[in-house]
Amino acid sequence: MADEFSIVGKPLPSVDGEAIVTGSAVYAADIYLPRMLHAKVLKSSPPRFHQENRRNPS
Amino acid sequence: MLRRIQLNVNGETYELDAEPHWTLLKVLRERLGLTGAKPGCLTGDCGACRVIVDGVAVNSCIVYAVRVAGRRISTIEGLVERGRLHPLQEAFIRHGALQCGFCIPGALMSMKALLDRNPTPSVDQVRKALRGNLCRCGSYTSMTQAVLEAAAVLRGALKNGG
Repeated sequence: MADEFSIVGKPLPSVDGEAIVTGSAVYAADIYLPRMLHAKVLKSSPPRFHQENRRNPS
Repeated sequence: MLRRIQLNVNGETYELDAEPHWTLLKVLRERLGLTGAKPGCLTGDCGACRVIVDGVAVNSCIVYAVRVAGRRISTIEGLVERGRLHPLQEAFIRHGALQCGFCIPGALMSMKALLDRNPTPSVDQVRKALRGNLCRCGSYTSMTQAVLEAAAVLRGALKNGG
């Protein structure tokens, strides 16, 4: 059954192989734009759920 | 306080002003435009930022740029020679050792450093050398095969005077 397929189960050359191994592939982290903003997650401590449930230990 | 330093990267000398606390990774990517080395963890754990300094593969995210001024630095961008892919690069493509590819520049630098100091690594030696490069896609097996093949190609090229 595999003989009937031209793509499934057959080795295919990677389209982006050369870009990846030469370091020229562009990932999101590689994009630098003028006046670019950076985001960071601000987490609360302790989590509010646990704080509220401390009043009613079970 | 900015300090003027010279960095020797892939055979070229770059002169720039750098703060003493800037990492080599930051300088390579944001000052020299060499974005091949990747910011994976920024804590020296994943190896995506690996470059070679005086023959030793190091995590550039935990190396201060001012500390390696004057040293010989090699990055993934320098692996191609005279427009031709290095046997490691060709082997990685041939073996499908790259999926998302984010870890690959770092892995190639680790393996280049390995083959430069040990042209005849065993399977275990390759696996051990790959330990510093984390691959979330899990390409370790194909990477290992690719490295072993590249090592053989390099030995053959040396024998034929290539």
